[in-house]
Amino acid sequence: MIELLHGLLDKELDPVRSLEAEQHLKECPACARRYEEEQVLRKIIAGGSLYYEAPRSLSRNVRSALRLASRAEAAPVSRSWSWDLGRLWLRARLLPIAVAALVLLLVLPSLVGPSTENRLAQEIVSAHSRSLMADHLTDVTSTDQHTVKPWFSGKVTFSPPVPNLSSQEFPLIGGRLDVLQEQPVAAMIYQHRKHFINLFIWPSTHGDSREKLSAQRGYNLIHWTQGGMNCWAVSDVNRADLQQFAQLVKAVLEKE
Amino acid sequence: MDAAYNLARWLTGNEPDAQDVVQQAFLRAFKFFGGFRGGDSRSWLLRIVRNSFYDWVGKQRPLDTSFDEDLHGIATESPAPDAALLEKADKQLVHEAIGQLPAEYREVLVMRELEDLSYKEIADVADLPIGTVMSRLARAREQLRQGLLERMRRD
Repeated sequence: MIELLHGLLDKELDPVRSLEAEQHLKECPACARRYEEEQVLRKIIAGGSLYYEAPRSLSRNVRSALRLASRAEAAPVSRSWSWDLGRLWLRARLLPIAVAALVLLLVLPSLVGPSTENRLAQEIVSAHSRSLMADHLTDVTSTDQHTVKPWFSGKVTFSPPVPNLSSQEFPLIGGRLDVLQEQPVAAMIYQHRKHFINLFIWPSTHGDSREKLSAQRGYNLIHWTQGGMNCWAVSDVNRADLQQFAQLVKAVLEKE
Repeated sequence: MDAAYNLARWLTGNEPDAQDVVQQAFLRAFKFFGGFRGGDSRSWLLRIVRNSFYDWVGKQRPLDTSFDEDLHGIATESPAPDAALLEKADKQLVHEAIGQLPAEYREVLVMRELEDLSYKEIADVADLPIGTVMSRLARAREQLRQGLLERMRRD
């Protein structure tokens, strides 16, 4: 049973077993308590900024190691006259290309066939930089959520939650109408020290999902689905701050 | 690159070794580039990182005992610990407690909680059946919870 609880926690159970596990949670206080603890534990791990980002030097070292390796492979070949010259030419020519392809594929995965999510992330980064560039950060400028929230009614077909996080160093600046994937979305703008954060919200057809961090053109992004809403936050603040912002938004949305 | 480094860093426990392992992994990836059959390049790379790590461990500790699932079983009844106490665990403590887990648990936990991989993806990377991923994860979290609570009660 304990393993099933973890499956449930990770949303990895099929619907039947998932129901079974949920039913068991209702009947068994010991497991329910345990489940609650596991949720706390997960939250601690997720919020603990335990992720190690690769040091800058690593990418450089790897690239030079790969270059060395490709030379080392090419060198003995070029000394060996018994080798078919055509093949030798091919190998010498192809190796650097293989190295470049590998670096592209692994170091810059965003360049190779962007997924839907990736394209959306690109759109969001564009929307974010546009909003900062063209002096069009807000359509409605107000630090009051009760001004911003009603402003959206009649402009979008849903009522976006507008969290007020001013007491947590993320004051609301205002709201803006934006378009993503050819549909109108609500954009809320927050400030954190000297940085702006755009929070995009629009209805989703998917169930809740955990937050996912990514980076694009120097901006950090975090997105998740909660209560039937897609939430994407983008900013040039660091990962930890953006993560904290997302946690705060999530907590507010939970209460709505 | 971050995913590769994060996994290596948690497995080796320090930066220079993690850098070595990642570098080895990329060299291997380069060598076996032909073995890449398309699909998810991150899983493929993590798999190589993981293999590089175990090779590296092999070199460091030639007499490493093999992992015994039974020895690391779940204690059936734990003394009533409470969620409220856990909430107070700070980053340093969690960090230490994860560091204390056996590598087999640490890797599934890191892949699940920090890389957000699905059971299926972890199964691919670690070459385990999905059922084993689920049970290892359950044990990893159990051990982490116990470890954390012990540390907190000690303080």
